[in-house]
Amino acid sequence: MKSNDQINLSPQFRLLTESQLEDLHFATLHVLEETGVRVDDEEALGLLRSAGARISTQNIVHLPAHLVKEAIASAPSTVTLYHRDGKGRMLLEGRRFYFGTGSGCPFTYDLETGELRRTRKRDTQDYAVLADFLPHIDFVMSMGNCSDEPSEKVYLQEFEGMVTHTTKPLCFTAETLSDVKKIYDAAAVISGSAERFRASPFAILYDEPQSPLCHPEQAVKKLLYCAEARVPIIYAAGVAAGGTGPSTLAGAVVQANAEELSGLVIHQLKRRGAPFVYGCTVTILDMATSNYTHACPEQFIMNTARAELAHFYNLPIFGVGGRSDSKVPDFQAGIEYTMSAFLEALCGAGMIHDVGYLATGLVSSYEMVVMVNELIGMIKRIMRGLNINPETLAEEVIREVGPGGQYLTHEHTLKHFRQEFWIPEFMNHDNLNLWLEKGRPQLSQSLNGKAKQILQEHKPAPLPDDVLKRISKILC
Amino acid sequence: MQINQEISECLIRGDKTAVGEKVREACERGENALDILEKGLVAGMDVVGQRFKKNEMFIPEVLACAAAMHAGIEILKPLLTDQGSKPLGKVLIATVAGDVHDIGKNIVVMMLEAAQFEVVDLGVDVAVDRIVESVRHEKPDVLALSALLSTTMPMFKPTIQAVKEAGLTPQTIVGGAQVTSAYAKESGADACAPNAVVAVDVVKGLVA
Repeated sequence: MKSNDQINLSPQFRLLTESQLEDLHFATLHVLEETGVRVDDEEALGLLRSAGARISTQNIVHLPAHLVKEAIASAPSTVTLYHRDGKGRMLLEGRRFYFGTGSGCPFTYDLETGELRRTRKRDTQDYAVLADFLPHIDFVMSMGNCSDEPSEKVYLQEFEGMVTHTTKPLCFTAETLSDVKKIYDAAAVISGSAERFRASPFAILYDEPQSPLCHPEQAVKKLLYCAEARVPIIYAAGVAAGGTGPSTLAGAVVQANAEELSGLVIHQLKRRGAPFVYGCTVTILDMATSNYTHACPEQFIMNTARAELAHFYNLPIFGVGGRSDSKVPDFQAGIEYTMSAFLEALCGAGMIHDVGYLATGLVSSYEMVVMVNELIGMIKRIMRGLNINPETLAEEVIREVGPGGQYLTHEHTLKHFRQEFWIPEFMNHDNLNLWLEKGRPQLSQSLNGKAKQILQEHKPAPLPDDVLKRISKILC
Repeated sequence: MQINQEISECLIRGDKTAVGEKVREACERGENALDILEKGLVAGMDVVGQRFKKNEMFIPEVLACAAAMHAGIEILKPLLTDQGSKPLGKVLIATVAGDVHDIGKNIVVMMLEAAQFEVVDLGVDVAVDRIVESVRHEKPDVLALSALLSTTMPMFKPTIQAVKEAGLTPQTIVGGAQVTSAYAKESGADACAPNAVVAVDVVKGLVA
């Protein structure tokens, strides 16, 4: 036995000190007070005015620091999302991390033909089935935008496609408040009642302000609605350094933080204690193409900083990773997937979405969703760290085997290898000869085959017929 | 001649102040205004365009050079109109109804102005009616429409159609992160461009 013992249960990763987080926080408060944010909603302006914010011309709201402080204090530190059948949950708190897919990709690579084509409602259903099956995918988003449905019904169809094909928690988008209300009506039918849904929510809305520093009317209406209804909401600023934010990374983080916290203030003024998930993504504008980037080292640094800020505030967090700017599943995709997913896990970025994305979110990929499940398995093994105890130090075993011996047939190996070793499904460890004899199998083929197999064989738990009929009436 | 080369060099460095000073100096020395424009400013901007295409210069630098070009042109304007020089063409540009994204569009505006186009920018979320009225009023050579989202790109077609039905005939170009040549064609546009630099070349082609 030792005294004063401390162990690391996982790798430790810290970008910033407390003092640096304070620097970011204070700069954010200055921006909110001196520059302010534009709020384009009358009700929100009323709430802010009554709370003591100064409103200058053109809806610019200057927030005093105490409002921000109070909002951070009253917002819950835990948001729980449940499986639709109650058989599991996602705890968004502290440095826990989970992974899930992403919303609204206009294109995908057809599993049969490899053709780059528009996504249809069927794709949203299939991506939900895939995610439902894969053990390391914890939540589901639409991965398509139902191009075969009328454009005014797209978001409702996305939700319907997902909720009928997985029991895992959902994250959805919707353009108008009217869509959001319909979706929550459907969710209430599925849970049995609005109260039941509120008690165990299985779906969360993803809403966003507009950079720099604007809260558009539609975005605010959704924010206020969810606050009042006490259903969880993600409010995720998306800043592109050099374009919609300063090109210096710290400044971009400060601005994103300002957008998040001002959203939180509005939300908490509507209803103190209502569930809110902090969700900004900070990236750079690519200066050769003027395009937004989905994977670059600057983003990984800035996103780590924002995760550390969320922890500093004790707020639940929505992260992003396992995605790439590459148009195809290639080396670039491999590199960008790995770096983004690993770093978000390391900084404990909560609900990490967009896995399976290619082409900066324009293309979803069945093969890459299967791939990322493998990647997450590897990451989780690393995050389990090194377990040190007498059994794992294995001094007895080392003595028994002795110099020149072998461990393969030792009881200790048989006992431990399955827990100690991560067993890959796709990372190929064949020797060269065997690989040649097998006909040089390519990873892309294995991933494609697996995706097809899952879609053929996996049957997610269905909703009861009467529920299906009722939600279809609401959504379709 | 020498001074025109100096003007080019200042422009390539994105030095707005220096370009302004040297253009004034050249004018005072009695240099031909058209020469200053072509051999000083345009020549410099051409080098910038080439370096951008080779990934040796990047957008913020290109925009700084465009601003320097603009500064030079402003000084030359009265002298050029005396000599009968006019803009290459007039472009009316807008982000379509329902879409508020404008970074790409704004870069296109700056690049077109640097290339001596007259540009009227209607801003973002511009209703079809307003676009039609503006085309009627401004009589542009080219109507340029921008949309970022897959849910707002469908506005290209009805907008272009409304302009045609009003009997107006500007050339049309569409742009945005998801815009493909096929989509542009389907929407009834005459052209599209994947980025702001190419957009200038395409627009030059449309007015030629």
